[in-house]
Amino acid sequence: MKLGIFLTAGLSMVQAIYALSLQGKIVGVLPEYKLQNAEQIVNGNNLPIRFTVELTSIDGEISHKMRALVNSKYEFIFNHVNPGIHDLSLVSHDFILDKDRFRIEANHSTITATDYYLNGNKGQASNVTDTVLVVSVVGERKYYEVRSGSVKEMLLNSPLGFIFKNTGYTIMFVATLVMMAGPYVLSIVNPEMSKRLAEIREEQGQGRGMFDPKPEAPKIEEISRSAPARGTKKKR
Amino acid sequence: MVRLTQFLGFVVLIATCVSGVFLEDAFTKNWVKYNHALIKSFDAIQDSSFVGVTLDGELVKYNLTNEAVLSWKVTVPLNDVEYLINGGTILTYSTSEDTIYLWDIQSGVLLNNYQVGPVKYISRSFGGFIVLSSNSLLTFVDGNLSKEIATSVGDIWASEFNGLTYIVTDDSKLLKLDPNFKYTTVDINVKFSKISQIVGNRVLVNGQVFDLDKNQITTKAKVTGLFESEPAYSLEKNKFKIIKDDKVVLEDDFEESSVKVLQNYLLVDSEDERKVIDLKGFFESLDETSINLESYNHSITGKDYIFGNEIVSLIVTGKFIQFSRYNILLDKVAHYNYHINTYNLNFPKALLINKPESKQTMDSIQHLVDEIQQNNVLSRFIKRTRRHLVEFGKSIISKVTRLDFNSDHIEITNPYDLEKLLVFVDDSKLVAVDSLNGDGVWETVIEDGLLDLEENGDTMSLVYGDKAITVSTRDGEIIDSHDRTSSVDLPQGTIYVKQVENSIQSYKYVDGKLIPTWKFAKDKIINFAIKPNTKTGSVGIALHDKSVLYKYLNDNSIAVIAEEDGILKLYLIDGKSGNVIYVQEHLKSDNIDTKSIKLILDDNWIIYSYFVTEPKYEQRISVVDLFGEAPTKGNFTVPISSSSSKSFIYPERIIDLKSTYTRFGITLKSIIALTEDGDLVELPKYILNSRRIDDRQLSQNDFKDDFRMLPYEPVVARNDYSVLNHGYKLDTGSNNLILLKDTKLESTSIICMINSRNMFCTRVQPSLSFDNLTEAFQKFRLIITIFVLFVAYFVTKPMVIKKNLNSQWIYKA
Repeated sequence: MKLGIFLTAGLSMVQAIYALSLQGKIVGVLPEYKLQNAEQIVNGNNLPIRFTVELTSIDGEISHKMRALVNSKYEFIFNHVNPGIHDLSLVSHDFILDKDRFRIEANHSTITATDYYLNGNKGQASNVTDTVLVVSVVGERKYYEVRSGSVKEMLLNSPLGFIFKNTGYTIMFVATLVMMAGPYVLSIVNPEMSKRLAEIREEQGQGRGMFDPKPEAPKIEEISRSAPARGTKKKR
Repeated sequence: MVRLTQFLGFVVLIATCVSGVFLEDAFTKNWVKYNHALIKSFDAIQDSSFVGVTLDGELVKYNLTNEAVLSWKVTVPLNDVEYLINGGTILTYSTSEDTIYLWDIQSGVLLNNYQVGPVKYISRSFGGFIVLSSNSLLTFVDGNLSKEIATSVGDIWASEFNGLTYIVTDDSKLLKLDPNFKYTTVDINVKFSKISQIVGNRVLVNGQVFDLDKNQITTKAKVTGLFESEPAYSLEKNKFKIIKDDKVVLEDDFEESSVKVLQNYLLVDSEDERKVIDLKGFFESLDETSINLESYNHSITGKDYIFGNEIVSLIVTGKFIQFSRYNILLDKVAHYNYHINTYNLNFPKALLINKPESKQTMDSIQHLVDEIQQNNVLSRFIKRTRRHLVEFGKSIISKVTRLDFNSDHIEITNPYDLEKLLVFVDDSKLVAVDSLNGDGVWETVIEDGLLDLEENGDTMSLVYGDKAITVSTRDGEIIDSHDRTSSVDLPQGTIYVKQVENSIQSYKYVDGKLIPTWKFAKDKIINFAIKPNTKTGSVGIALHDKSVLYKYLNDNSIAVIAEEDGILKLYLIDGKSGNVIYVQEHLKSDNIDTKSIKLILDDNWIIYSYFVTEPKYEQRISVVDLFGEAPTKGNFTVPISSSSSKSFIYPERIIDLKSTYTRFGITLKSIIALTEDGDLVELPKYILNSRRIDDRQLSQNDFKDDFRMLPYEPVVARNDYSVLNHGYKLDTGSNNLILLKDTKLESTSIICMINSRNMFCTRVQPSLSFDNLTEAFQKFRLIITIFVLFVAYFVTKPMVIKKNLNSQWIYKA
């Protein structure tokens, strides 16, 4: 009995001595990145603490679970990884990671990490005994919807938004719009004027060649004289 | 065509699932409070804030600008945490553990951690720290590096002086360490064990001042302590003396307990006044006229600090903070008293209950009802109309004149019942906080030995062994205390079910006694759930052929997960008869972590989550939908005619489940899952639908056969928009409670998550806010638009008439 206890204790000591460490690093967090409304959130300025990095032993029963703290350089370390199979999970409350789950196989001399996916596919196994396991940030988690609805917002977010974001473009756009829509609006507001203008344009187009001198514009009196008398009943 | 339909279905799904938290609602319609243990040690830092370590080893920082606001909180993975601050860095250590942690004081970010061995001595040095470990290793550490200085060092005293760190070792050596970590060693004539204080290059040895540079005693007279500048002081028999070069240069009478030396200041406290004696000028000139004396109101017996021109005093006692700032130059003092909003949840149950209207409002309503009931129908109608017109008139006049006419107005403060009370036990108090903002509503001191909490409308019962105490939920007042003959207090004839070891035992409550009825025994009962008393909006699903697939809606259903012959099985039991109605078993090859199983039963479905370690390490959610035969004459207790079952994989580990419910059950159901990472995720039931097609392409009829039918996809993707706690990261503990309560708005329920580490409350709207205009809805703009349309109508109408008339005429060219 005593021998058994002695052997068990000895084995534990040997395991502890030869236990390897697993180091990891999360890359891709921009230094200037700030949480939305960070000042209203406890630990809002502490992005590393919002990562959860856990190593769970999965040899049969879920027996042992270790949690590592992520430091300001987004590095973490598990100092004593016991031989066996473990599940390494990395979850961030703020970022999407390219790989968030690894199967860690450790023996007395090596540690291998295999990323695996929920659909059962396994990634490539890599030896991380003396190297750092690198996980990349590929995006940020978006929790908030922004309520839309204002006309200005709709315009700015429309395909024509790039025009309205620039004053010069906006002036050109409005001017073009007025030139295009002007005759149509005039035909509704003042059909006589519209018709007369159309005639003038037609006359100018017929009587003028490419190099002809510019004809003089008809005077207003002439236009008004040549305008049809109103009030003539349509003949049926 | 089918593919197009599927695509459209998917687009619709995505569009409807994406119902995230709106940014403007995120921090107003929900709140979180982080709990921590009582603060055992603390220190003020600049910018009106302090850091402290709690009894549970949490390192916290509070800002004290307008109220005590928790800025950050981290759990230090050490036993018996101690700390030291130097500038912008905090070092946490333990005298029994190997690792030290360095944290940024502003943000709480972990700068670095080093394994130096159990800490024996620690001192500030070059913006970092000199650490002597129990294994005799002397190390310099800061946020960036760890540098070994010396080995085989037994014990030290260390301080900073003239850009060097003076280290006195227990073998009577002085190490002068420069910023490049090079040091010179000299032997000094001092007995290490007699040193009681070190300031700069002086140590206090056996009541005498020893100059480390001169390597000799400079003051032989008996002194008590050292100022930051050269002189020392003695304080004996209420005589305070300042001693320089062995001469008493100043003497005064002060009570020993009232004097504090802070750098070159002397603080003398009386009952409610503090004298601040600035001795800096005196130390240079030894002229008594250069002593500055100021005084201010002061009653805090805590720690004192000097930050620039301010003397800051702080004491944290339990949950109370007393804080004062005295500006020496301006002679202005400001006192602050704050309360730390943290709770120690030591009872495993909490309740989310309806918030009763105030007694005054209830009395007014009762008075109105009594008055109305005394008259006939016509008279009541006239009175009601008159009252409404008067109220309307007063309302308009008060808006125009800004006068208050509403003194006799009955104000319903919680018309839609969106405000609930979250009631829990904090140490020896029953506490109710408002679910809308987390503010405390009432507190009541209760007796020890509480067994259960029960809600009974406007009152609640605190159940003890043989008695129950009734507490008013309006104000927390104890109304009465009565004996209980039974462990439960139920209406006559109620069926009561409880787990007794490896069996489910049913009882009938008759004449105050529980009479056993049936028993369901298995090798191991892992979990069980009783169908809640919630309403169901529809009794069936309309199919494409206009037939109805009726739900199995047995109100007495009990779901049990048990282990039998090493196989995990789900049983559905009829609560009245004890008959097993449905059984589903898992594969023996699946190695399921039984501790992780969470089970809910609602409507016509059973959902349970569990963690599998073999063949794959994954979180699964199993869904069973049950359907029955057509009910006859409103009797829904019919046999199960069909069932379907599917399993889904969720990317994160689930530690608790809850089903949503609403007032009338019309709103869609959602399943709230609490993940191990602290996300409270809303999963719509139509995602967790066991009728999703997995063996063929979806047809047009499939889409018509169920609400938002989708092809089966085993993985339920993580959708950040469905995380109810959005940017708030919740800490999950051992006793997580998800509490839910319906409101008078059919669309909305209130949900709270509470455990010893944090409390969070928000609103959940599985079918979005269909019966309530959002606060962002622009009523004014709507009115203006209608008005403009009216104007446009009246302006353009004659123009149109004129145009139509003109169009009847022709113009001669």
